[in-house]
Amino acid sequence: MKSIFALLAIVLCLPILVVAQKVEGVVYDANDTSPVPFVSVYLTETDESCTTDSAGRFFLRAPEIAAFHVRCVALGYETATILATVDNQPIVVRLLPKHLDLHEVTVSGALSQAQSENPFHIESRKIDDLTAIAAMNLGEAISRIPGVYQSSLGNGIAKPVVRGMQGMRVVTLLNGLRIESQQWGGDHGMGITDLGLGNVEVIKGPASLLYGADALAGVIYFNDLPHVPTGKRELESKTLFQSNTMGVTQRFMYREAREKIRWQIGAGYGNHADFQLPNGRYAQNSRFNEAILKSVLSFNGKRSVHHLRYTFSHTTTGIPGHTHDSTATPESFQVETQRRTYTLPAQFFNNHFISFDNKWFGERSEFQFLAGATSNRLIEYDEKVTIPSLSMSLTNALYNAKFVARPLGDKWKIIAGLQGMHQWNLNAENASDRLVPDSRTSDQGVYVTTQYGNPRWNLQAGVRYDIRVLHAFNSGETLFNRTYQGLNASAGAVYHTEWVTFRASYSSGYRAPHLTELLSNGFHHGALRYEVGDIHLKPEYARQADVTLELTGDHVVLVYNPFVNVISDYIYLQPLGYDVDGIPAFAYSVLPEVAFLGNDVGVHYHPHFAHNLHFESTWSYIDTRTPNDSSISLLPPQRIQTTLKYSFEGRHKFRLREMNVMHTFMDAQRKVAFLESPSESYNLLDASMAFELNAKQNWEFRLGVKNILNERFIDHLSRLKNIEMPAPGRNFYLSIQFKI
Amino acid sequence: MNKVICVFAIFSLFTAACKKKCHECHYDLNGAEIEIGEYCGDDLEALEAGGFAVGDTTYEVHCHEH
Repeated sequence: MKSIFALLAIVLCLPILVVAQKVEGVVYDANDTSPVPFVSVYLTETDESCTTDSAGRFFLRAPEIAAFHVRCVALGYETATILATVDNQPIVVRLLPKHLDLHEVTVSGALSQAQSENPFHIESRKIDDLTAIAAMNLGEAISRIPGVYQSSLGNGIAKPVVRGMQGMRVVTLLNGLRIESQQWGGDHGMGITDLGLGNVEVIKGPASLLYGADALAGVIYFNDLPHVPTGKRELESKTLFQSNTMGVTQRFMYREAREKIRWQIGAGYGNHADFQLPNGRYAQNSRFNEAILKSVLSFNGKRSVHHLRYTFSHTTTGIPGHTHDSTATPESFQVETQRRTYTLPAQFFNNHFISFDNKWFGERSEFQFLAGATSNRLIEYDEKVTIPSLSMSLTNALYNAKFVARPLGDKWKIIAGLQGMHQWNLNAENASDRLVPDSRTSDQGVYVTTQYGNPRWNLQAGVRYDIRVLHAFNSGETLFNRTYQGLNASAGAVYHTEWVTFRASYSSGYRAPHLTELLSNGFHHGALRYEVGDIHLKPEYARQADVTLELTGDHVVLVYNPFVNVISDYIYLQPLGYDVDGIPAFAYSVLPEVAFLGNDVGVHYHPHFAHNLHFESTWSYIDTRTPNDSSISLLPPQRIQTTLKYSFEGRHKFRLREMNVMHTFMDAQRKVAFLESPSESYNLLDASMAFELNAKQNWEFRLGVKNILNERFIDHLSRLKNIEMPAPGRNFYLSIQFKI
Repeated sequence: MNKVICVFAIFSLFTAACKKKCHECHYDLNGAEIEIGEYCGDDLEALEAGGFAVGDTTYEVHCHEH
C-alpha cells in the first residue's frame, strides 16, 4: 500500500499547470460541408458530453492536457473520434454518412483508443445493438458476439463462454471493477443485468497483463451508459413482456447532468415463470425473478474526473432438473402447468458492487485510481426449506492504480500500474454442506507496458508480475496455505490504412487453481455433481497468438481473426464413472497441455443501392488439441450467425423505424469428453420490428418473435443437456420504451 | 387520517414480515409419501434438522413441493 500512496503523492504534487477550460468546435457533414445539428459529442477521457446546436456548434469543458479524444455520434453518420489539442482553435469534426462503423473507442485495453489503432483485438458492441432482438438475460445478449457463447442453466442463469472456456477463466469487469460472484460454479450467474449499461467490450484470450491472474479465456468489460449532455435531464422507462415465460422486465433510469456534477439512478425488476418448451409443456422450476438498484455520481475537478458507482442486485432462481424419482425420465422434468411461485431447489443471490474511479490529468500524463468492493451472498436451498445446503459470503476489496505518461506527445506512451485484491470467502454456520472451506486470498500485481505509434503503425509490449497468497481455514485452523506467482508478457502490432487493418499479437496469462479445484469434497447440487478436489494442482499457464485482418471497402467489411491459445497444466473435471447418493462423481484432474484453436470470420455488407440495408454474418469455430487426444467437455460447436437489418426513413409521427431478422445455425458437436452427451445441429430464426412515436416524449415499441419455427433444440453448452431438456420454444415479445 | 393509514400500513408490513413460514411436510417410506402435517417456524426448523421419529426409526422429512 505504501507504494500506492507514494505514487499518488508524486502524481498529485506534479507541477501541472492546467485548468479546466471550455473548448468549442463544430461538426460538419463530410460530403456537403453543411453543419450537423444534434450530434452527441463526448470527451472520452472525462466522460463529459454535450449536443451540437442547430449550427453544428458545441462547447465542452475539458482539462488542458496535451491532447484528448473527442467522439461524435449522430444518427445516419459514422461515429468519428478525433484527437484534439488545446490551441484555442475551434475543433472541426467532419462526419461521414454512415456506411459501416469500425472506429469505436474501447477502454478495456491499456489505453482509451479507437479500436483501429489498438494492437490487441477487442470486440466492442452496444448493448442496444445486441438486444435489437430481445434477450432473456445479459448472458444471452453477449453470446451474439463472435467467439462468445453462453452456458446456461435454464433462463435464470447464463454465463459467458469465451473461445471455449468459462467460469474462473473468464474475468468480468463492470466499469473497471472486477466482479467476483462465485463464478467457479456452472450454476452461478454473472450477477450483472443490463440496467444502465451502454456497451460491452470483449478481449478474447489471455489478458493477464492488464487484469492479473485468471483471465486465460478472456475479459468481458461492461461500461455504463454515458451521462446525458450538460444541462439536460432524462427519465427513461422500458417494459418488456415475453410470452414464453409470461415474464415482465421493467427498468427505470433517471439521468441528469449539471456543469460540475452528473448523476444517474435506476431501478429494475424482472419476474419470469417456468419457460415453455416447443412441445407446449413447461420446464419445471425454471422460474426466476430479480431486482436491481443502480446509481452513478460523477463530478469534475479542475484537472480531474471522479465516478462513484453503486449497484445492488437480488436474484431468486429455481434450479430445474431436480427429482426424487429414482427412475426419472426426461419427461419427469417437464410439467403441464406453468408456475412462478418459489419452490426448492433454488438459489438466492445478493450482490453489492461499489467503486470509486478517479482520473487526474497532467499535460503529458494521466493517473487513474480505482478503489472498490464487491459482496456476493449465495444461498442455495436443496432439500430443506429452513436449512440451506450452501450459504457463502464472498467479499472482495480491490484497488487499481494506473499511470500513463506521454513523453513524446501522443506518439509514445508508457503505462505502469499496480493492482491488488483481497478476498474473503466465509461459509454460514447453518449450511448443511461446505463445498469449499473458509478462505482468504490476496493478489498483488505490477505491470509496465509501452506503446509507440504513428498514423500507420502502433506497437505495444509489456510485462507483468503477480503474486497470489491463498489461505484456507476451518474454525481458525489452517487447512491450506500456498503462494503462487506468475510472470507474463504481451506484445502486439497493428498496421492500418483506410482499407486495411492488420493486427498481430502474442499474450500470456496464468491462473492459480481455485479453492474448489484444490479442496472440494462434497455435493454441488446446483451443478448436479459430487466434486472431489486435488490439493496438488499447479497453476495453468496460457500463451496465445492472435491475428486479425480487416479489409474495409465503401460498402463491405471483411474480418478474419484466427487464434491459437495453448494452456499448460489445464485443470478439468473428470467423471469418475460412479455415483454418490445418486449423483455422479467428478474429480479435478490435469491435462499437461491443451491447445484451443479456431477463428472468427465476419462479413458486413451495406449495399450502395440499398443504403438502409445491413447484412452481417459471422462464423465462429473452435477446436482443441490435446497430446492424448482426450476431448474437453462443453466445447462450443461452430456457429454461423446472420443478421439482416433494414432502417426505414420517414417523417410521420408514428412510423416503422427498423426491422431485424436473425438466423443462427449451430452445428452438431460430436467431439465430447468421457460420459458427455453429444448434441445435434439446429437452426434458429428470430425477428423484430421497431416502431417510433414522436410526441412530447419519444416512444419506441418493439414487437418480435424468437424461435419463430418453434424448433426443438438442446444447446451443447446447456447444463440441462444431461436431462434432455430442450431450450425455450417460440417466444413473442413486446417492449415499450419512452424517454422524457 | 393520512397518519392513521401510514401507521396501519407500516404495522401491516411489519406483521406480514414477521409471519412464520409454514409448510406441509412428509417423509418417504417404501416409495410412498407419508404426510405428517403442517409445521411452522422453529418447529419446522427442528423437524428438518432432526428428522421425524417413528418408534426407533428417524426419517428425513421433506417440506417442499417438487
